[in-house]
Amino acid sequence: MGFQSLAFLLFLTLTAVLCPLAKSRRTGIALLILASAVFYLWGLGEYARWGFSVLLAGGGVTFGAARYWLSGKRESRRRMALNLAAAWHIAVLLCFKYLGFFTGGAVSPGWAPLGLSFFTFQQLWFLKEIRTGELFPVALERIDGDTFTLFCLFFPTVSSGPILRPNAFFPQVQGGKFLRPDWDDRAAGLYAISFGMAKKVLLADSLGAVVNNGYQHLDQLTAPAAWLVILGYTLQLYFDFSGYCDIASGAARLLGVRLPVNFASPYRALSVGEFWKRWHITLTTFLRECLYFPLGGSRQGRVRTYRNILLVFLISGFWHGSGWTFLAWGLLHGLAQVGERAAGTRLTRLPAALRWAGTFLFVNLAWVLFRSPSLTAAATVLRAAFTGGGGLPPWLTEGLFSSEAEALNVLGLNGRAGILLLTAVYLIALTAALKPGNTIRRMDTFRPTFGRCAACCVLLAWATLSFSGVATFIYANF
Amino acid sequence: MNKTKKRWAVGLLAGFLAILSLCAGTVRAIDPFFHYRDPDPNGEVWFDERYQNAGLLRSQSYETVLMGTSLVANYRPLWFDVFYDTSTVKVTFPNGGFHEFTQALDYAFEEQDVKRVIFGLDPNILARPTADAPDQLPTYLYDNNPWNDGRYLLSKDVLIRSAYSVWKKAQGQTQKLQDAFLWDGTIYFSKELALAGYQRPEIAAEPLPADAFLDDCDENLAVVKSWVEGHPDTQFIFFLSPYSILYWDKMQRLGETDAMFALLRRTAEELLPYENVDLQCFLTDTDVITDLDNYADHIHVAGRVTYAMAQAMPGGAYRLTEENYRQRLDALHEFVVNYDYEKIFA
Repeated sequence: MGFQSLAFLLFLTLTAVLCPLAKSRRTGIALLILASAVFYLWGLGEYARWGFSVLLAGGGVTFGAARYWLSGKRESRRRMALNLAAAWHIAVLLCFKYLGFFTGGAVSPGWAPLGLSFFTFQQLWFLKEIRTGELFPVALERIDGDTFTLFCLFFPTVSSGPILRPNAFFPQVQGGKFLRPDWDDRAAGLYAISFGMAKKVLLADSLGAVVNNGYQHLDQLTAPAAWLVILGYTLQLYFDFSGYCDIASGAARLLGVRLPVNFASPYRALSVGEFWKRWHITLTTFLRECLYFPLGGSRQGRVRTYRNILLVFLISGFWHGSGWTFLAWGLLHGLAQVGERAAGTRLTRLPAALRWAGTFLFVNLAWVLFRSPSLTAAATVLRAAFTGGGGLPPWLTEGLFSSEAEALNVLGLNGRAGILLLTAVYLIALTAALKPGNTIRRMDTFRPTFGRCAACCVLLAWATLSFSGVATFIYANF
Repeated sequence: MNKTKKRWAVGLLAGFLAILSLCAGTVRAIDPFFHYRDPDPNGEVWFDERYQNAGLLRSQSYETVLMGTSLVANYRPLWFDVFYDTSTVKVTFPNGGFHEFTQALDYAFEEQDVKRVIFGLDPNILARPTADAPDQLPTYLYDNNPWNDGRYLLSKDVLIRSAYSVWKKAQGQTQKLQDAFLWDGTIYFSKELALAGYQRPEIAAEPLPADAFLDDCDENLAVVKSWVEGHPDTQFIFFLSPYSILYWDKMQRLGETDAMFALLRRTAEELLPYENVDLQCFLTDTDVITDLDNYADHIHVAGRVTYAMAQAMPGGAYRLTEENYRQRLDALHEFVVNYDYEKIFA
């Protein structure tokens, strides 16, 4: 079930009303698992059933290894059990998402369970924290099968994260707020859902129309069009994923669960290193704690530090997609951070505006690799941006608020509605992306004024009435 | 704070529900796609075949379905009512895909006792790979399931079209049901127009192999045959619209003529064995196809020609049979291969 559907709003209403009615925590967890199963399986076709089975089996493997860890058997054997479980998860991920890449397309299952990449990292994080003792055996013992199943399938996070570390989830499920939200929680949840829906449906998908038009007319891209496509994708990806995270956080909050912050105004970053502290924070934290630190981090000299950074970002790129474009994107980000480290304080002495502009430009250009279907297509877009002709082609605004544009044209704008809407969408999107703070932090601090209520109301209603013809979340593919 | 937040949250939910109710109520009352009401035969606002045809299939009383792509748009249902002594509903989808036609036909058979389907079998869509075919029908309109009506009632696009419909009606800019989706009155068909809309391609270095279209054709014909086999008591009249000589100029220059004739032969071979199939080929009317004043581009033909074709259908003058189809197609092949195309452009 996608978040941007009437079915989800109905499902969320029922879940948020019924689950808190459960008399005991056990019943509440069972109800929530059932709801999560419905969410996963609803309307996603026959592969959803197989995907669900893969996630359940993976959860079983992790839980079995965790129980074995508590069994008191010889430590080497218990470690072996954790390693085998980790190997299982990596093998499943490789099989479903990368077999085609490694075999040149000769062998490929042709589908992958929804949310498998997020699920895999979450399971690996759980296993790693058992192994390092960050998840205390006492705390581990308190995690029963039902609670662990909920950790694996929790509907707000199952398709696209945020990647939950054990400490971000289990203490909450065992705490007093779980399924006992008060009106502060409900208001916070509705606030986040309203803004999340608006980000996804009204901004990300509108920008997506412009970006898709550009990629469908690569040979006709002018320089201004290419820059609009590049900037459009930068903003689209941010609003798509952060919008999803806002909705996920809002939905979880209606059930008394707080999700970790995943975005902190990333496009305000003054360096690529800072960008990664603000973008997809749970992924960055996972990679730092489960990969960068175990590789030695920055403690074993400059060369090994650089190697570790490059390795982490190559894996990050590959996690996002099994293609050369994703590897190149990861490598670019790795190289940029190596460069920043090598430059040391010389960069920080530059004016903040210059550092921001440089970082924003780099991130924009790197996203071209992320979006392009091939390195050749990426080169075409970049070439058009720097050497293309002038003017804005008329096809660029096709599908951008098409009904609204048609209505405005009928009312007298005589064909200029497309350009006006394009300008408005880019201005609003840029302002929203660059302003400080984020929805998830604001959901606890906002003042409940009439104006905010009316704004949320209109945004949520407009987004809801725009569901038909809305694209799927980009990050659900990962 | 808790009380203030409660008021805020309840206010948000109430406002949200009020806006949705207002939208649903407006769409329900105006019903621009005729999901709940019958269209007014004397004056409606017609703007989208894929969305409004479901309402026609549901609300009209008919035993004949006239169906096809934009090539069928310039036929009036009334002609078939007279020529076949029947009652007809016209359902066309511009650039329609076979999956879309199947969905619409299924709904028609569900709603009415369909005795006859008259279908404009466009060779271009027979040659099209199924993966490239549009599949854009709003399925929630092509059923009687009230549980998915939310997608109709709660849509800003439908809301905007509701307002558009009211606005057009207020200005008296409506069309009769018989004229729904017709466009032959809005342009003047002529050789100049036909040539203006035609881009003469470069001559291909190599002709396409004769079997180039057959795999896609077979896949598309399998869908067509499933209609015929699924409804043995319904008569299916498939007709091939008269593509102009410009179309054959294009085929000749692209080296696709033999492949297209192989497709036409395959179509005849596959469909003619069925007792409930009538295949009529207007492609072979060389008087019509060489008179470019009949056309708006290289394939779309004027209302005066579509009328003559509709009139000719019951008589069967253009009917292909297992006995005559080779000879008629061979004659057309001979004609288009030897035609002096340069005189068109002289």
